[in-house]
Amino acid sequence: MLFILLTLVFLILRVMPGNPCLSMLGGRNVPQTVIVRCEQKYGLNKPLYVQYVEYLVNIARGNFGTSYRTGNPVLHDIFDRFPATFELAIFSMFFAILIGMSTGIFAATHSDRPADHSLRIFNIVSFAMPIFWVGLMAQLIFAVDLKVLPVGGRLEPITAAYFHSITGFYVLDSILEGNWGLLVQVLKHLLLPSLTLGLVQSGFLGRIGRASMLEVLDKDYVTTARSKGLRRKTVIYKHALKNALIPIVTITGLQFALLLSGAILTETTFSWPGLARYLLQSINARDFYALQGTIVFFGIFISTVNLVVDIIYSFIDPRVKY
Amino acid sequence: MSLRVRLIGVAVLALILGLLPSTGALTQTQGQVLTIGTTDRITELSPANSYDYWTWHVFRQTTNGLVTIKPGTSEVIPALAKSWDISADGTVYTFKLRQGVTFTDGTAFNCAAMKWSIDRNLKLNGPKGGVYLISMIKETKCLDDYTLQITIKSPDTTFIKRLDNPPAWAYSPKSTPADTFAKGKWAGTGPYEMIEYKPEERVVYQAYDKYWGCNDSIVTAAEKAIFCPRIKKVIEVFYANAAALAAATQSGEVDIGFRTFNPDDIISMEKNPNLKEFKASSSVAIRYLVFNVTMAPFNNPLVREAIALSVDRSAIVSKVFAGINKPLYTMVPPGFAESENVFPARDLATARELLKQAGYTKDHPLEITLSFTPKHYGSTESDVAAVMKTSLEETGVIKLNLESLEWGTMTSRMSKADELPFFLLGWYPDFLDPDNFLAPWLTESTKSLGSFTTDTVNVKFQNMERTETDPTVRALIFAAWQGYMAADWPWESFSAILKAKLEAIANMTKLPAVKGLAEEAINQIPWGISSLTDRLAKAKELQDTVQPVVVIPLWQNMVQMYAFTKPNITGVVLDVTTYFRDWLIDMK
Repeated sequence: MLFILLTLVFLILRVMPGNPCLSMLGGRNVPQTVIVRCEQKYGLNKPLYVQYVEYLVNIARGNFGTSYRTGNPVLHDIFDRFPATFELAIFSMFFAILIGMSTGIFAATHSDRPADHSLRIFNIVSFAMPIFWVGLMAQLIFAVDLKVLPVGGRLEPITAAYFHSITGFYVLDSILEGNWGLLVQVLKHLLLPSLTLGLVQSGFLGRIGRASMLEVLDKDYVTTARSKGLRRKTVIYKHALKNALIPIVTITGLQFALLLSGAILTETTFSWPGLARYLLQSINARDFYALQGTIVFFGIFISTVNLVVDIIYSFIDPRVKY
Repeated sequence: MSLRVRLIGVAVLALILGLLPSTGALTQTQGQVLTIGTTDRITELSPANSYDYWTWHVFRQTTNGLVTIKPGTSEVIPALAKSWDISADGTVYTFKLRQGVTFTDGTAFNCAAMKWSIDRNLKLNGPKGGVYLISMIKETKCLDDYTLQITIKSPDTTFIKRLDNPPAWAYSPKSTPADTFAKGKWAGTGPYEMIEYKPEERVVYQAYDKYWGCNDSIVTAAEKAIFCPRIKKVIEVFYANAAALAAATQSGEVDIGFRTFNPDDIISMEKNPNLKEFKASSSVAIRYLVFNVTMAPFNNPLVREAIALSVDRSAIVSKVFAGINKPLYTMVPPGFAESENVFPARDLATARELLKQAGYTKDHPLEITLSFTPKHYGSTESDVAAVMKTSLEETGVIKLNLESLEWGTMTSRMSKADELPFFLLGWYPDFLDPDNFLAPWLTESTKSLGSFTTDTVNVKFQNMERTETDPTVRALIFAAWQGYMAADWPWESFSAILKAKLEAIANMTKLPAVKGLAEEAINQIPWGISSLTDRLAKAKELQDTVQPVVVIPLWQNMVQMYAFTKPNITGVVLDVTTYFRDWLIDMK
């Protein structure tokens, strides 16, 4: 799968219109000799199959090339920005699961009642809303009008200029330092972007959660549990929910990929200095190696997440053994 | 705990987080800190290999040149040079340098350092840079420790203004690499020192405590007011887009928001009582149309003139830019004393007549394609193209197709002789002189900027204005040049005015070379053609040597000339230079 992704990334970047060296050099009156030198430097003058083999070999060695935009090795840029995206993704997933599961379970246990209909509409609307619009509205209401939350970024500009991160994960950093004031500031900055991204993801999880829960609630063992006289909450949370979780966990893993694509919009709206924004800027600047490296990294990351999800199955469902 | 209780708990937590003050977690700042938000970007921090607004802005905050422009004016004033002399033939500039100046790395500034900086950039001359702006330098020489002599290849009155650009500024030989692009490693003379740069996030400056501009023994009180920084620490924050910048400005997250707001946000913020507005009365950022005058049907001047008469500048400005930008009728924008509105107002009847003469009618329409690039000029570009289509098609004779191109494709194709005939471009000047609004398309970079004009009259105008030292005569040359390039030269009424101007130039100049050029131009231009038929015949005959309407100015980009600040901010100067001088800003 990863090999297909690598090949597709390579081919798409080569068939895109425009000369990457011209985009890189940008200025006026760029002499042909300079363009030729640039093509030689980046190996763009070599036959396609040679470029392809070199590309695969370099990636296997962990060499993603150098970003011409930042001047840094691409892997350095990726690791510099990835913590911001990962932190955002984790918090977004938290909100997505919290909102999605809560609404899904509640709708299923109140099936065909007004609460169910309302939550189903809420889930559909959440899923259908454009992220950038939700983000802009949230900014306008909470940052511009109410002034209770920040507009964007990971920290206030002045704090950011003085703050030196240890791990790149600001929540973790502030806990490690025992700086609770900083923690509050970090969480305040995380709230709007992660809620925005999480809300959109929650719609889908809510729909799946409801369907899965409804299916489980109809099973014989649930009926048996009820007829034994167990409390309703025990039946739902102890017996039904655990089995209903299996498809939800699967979807959650897949949602991670969607979450990262959503992060491009969220990070742009909230000026979040993450990897998704780096990807977008690389696309705009035709930063060949940065673009290539980031897509490949995202591919590897999503594959890893799905592998972890597969492993989690065995904990949720004892029938699954590896 | 029930689900409901948990949900309420989360909501309460969110509310507490929202209401908690943002604690001065790490803001153990000493003195005031100024925060400026922008959507601009830094490309490569190399004076010999960068050429964009915010990268040069960083150099402007951290070093100086021999001269600069006085804030609020277009007057050239001394900076690191105390004074200068120009030789009688206009080719030797002798600068007396200030003494007691140091670089932020502690190295003393003197003639050797200044010479080293200029020579270094001339030698490196990066492909992405703007070193070509000073490429007319033939030799730099130190007459003593504080006297620099620069010899240029031929007289050029624009030279002194070209020195106010990063390739000609001072960089410490101790901290700046001699043989490679600096890429963030340099030391300047201040007013600030860049202490942190995080790409696409922020740049942080600290005022240089030994800055010459604050030293009473080096500068006068008046100079101190121009050069000495008010705020000790400045943080510039890069926002992802205009909406985020507007939100950050309105919420008070930054003290100042500058470049570039959406027109609608500008209108909304103008009504915000908690914000202070600063705006320039004029802008040197312009937008225009370019023709490749060698490609059919644009090799016919009648077609180009018809399009110039059909474009609806007012519609573009009002429909796309909410009236913020200003219609432009000359390439030299208002703000320069030499600016003259020479392009005609919209006149569809005349446009149809010209098209008819060129052989196009309703039954045989002129079908053309306009290329544009939203990737480079932003989302409004497509709207501009749509308005262009409507306005040209209102003639009933033109059918306009639109072609959206990626920026790399556009630059690549426009510099090829036979690929891109008609396209939208933008211009921000290299230096503040009317020359830089005419020469690039008409004489200097006709191939790379896609006009491919071979009109030799333009070369004569350029040589006249670059040789002439008398400002009055020079202004007259620019007036004549703008008129010439804006068409209508064959018409009797217009040609009489242009001819009179050229004759005045020949009479007023004290320089025989300028007089000779003016007379040559008079002889070359075919005067007094009164009928359209004669005009068409003459146009065809001369289409390789006399080529009016190579470009059509459309609008002045005012949206980049707005800054919105908190009420306590003073000292923001937005003038014709478009420089943003952080050091003049104060917080009361």
